[in-house]
Amino acid sequence: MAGNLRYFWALLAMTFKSAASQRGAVMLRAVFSVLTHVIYFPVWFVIFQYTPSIGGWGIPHACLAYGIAMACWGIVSLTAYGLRTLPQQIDHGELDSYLTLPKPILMSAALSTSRSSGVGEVFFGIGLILYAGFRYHIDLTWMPLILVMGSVVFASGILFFASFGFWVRQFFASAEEIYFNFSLMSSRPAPIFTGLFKIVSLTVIPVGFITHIPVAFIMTHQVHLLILSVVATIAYAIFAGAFFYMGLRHYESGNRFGVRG
Amino acid sequence: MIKYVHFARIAFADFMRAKVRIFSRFLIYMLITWAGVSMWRVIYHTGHAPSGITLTDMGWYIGLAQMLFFLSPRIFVVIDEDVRSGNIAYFLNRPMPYLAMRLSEGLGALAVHILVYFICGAIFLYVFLGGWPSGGLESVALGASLLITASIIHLLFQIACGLSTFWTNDAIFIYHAYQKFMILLGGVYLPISLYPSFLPPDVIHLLPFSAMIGGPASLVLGGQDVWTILALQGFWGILVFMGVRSFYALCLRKVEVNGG
Repeated sequence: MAGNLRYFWALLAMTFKSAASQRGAVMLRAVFSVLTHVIYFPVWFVIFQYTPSIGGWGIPHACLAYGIAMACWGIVSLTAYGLRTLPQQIDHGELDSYLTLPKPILMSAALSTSRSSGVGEVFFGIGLILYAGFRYHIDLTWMPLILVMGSVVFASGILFFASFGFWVRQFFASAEEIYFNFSLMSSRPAPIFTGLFKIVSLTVIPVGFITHIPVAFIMTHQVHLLILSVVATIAYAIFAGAFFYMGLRHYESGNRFGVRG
Repeated sequence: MIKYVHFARIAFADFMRAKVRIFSRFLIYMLITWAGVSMWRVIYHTGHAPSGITLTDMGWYIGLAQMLFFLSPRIFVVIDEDVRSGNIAYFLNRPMPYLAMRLSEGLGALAVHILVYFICGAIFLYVFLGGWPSGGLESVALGASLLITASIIHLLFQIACGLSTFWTNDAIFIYHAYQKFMILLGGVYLPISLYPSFLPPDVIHLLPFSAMIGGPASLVLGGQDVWTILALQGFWGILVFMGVRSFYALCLRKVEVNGG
């Protein structure tokens, strides 16, 4: 366990070192990313200019939801970009090299690939959360825990969908589209998710546990919502991990051979 | 010219075979449209319905506006891969312009998506919204036709995003920036005519994003004139095409500097 933890920190340090080696590109991405969100977020001001609330959700809810969604997306992109490229790694047979290592394959696959994106999202997301906190007097004590849980749910969601790559070839483009819309859906107002849509948002695509329920907890301070989020986060992470290892058994028995010169 | 037709034909066949990809994309389209319409359903129920626009009309508007993002293939990813892997150097030696090759492939894939989204998308929207918009089937057909020309402009923008990899080493965040501009200035979540004064609709209507999304989609609301949208699309299409060509020439100089 301690060895795995050391390995985890070593991989994480390597990711940040790699990002630091391309300072110019990383800074450009970060600035662009912040600008993108600064340009995009007014769309919610436009909507709430038109209607004062959407089923009880107003600008403070939108700020928190978008901030949490973006910060979590950024954290996952920054620390575990390999999860997003998993379908590509499966297609190219790149998991072979991790299978020979005495360390958990999921950790290696998730952290060994780095593309240092996400810095801008983290800055913007946290900035927006702080803005909402100060502007609308919202208690942000539980926010660090919510960001950690949201990132775990995001990462688990990405892992779950990426694992379809074990069965479906060339799934990378579809998976990328799913992840991106995953992040967009989590910033939509909770009251629009009703009926079957609500069930989907709390199970297969659990955007409800990234933003909707945590935002409801922050605004109402009902402890059972926080407990529900914690339990759901752990359960979904276990489910996604189990699904990955189920696919991995498929990979072990059906990988293609290749020659590299 | 015939070689480009073959590239388009091969891409068409390739995309037709990828049934999982088509299915998963369409599923996302349905989900996103569902979310957009659900938002408006809540707004209508709380008594903030825009005057003269029924919920069905708004649903068709949202459905058509979202469709633009799904009609074109993600061609910027292919160019991004070509640049980052260095494969672009192999394509440059071939007796055909690289950009024209990728564009014809994009058009081939676009043809597949047109078939899927215009048939399945229309059925989905009809069933989900419970009927045609006030303008009837004709307005949907007109809006959809203009989405085809809009998708070609979208492909050109995607090529520009893909080529940006020469400087940024990653096109996806440039594409996301472009996409977010489209959402805000294209009127994806709500018709541009409902925008507040700090985003003046008269100015936004003239931008390429509106000509690509809000313009065609607003035909179901009986909004803009078809010929005005077409003229705007023509103007922006030519401008973006010339811009992409100049940008590509600049990129080629960068390839020579790096040695390919």
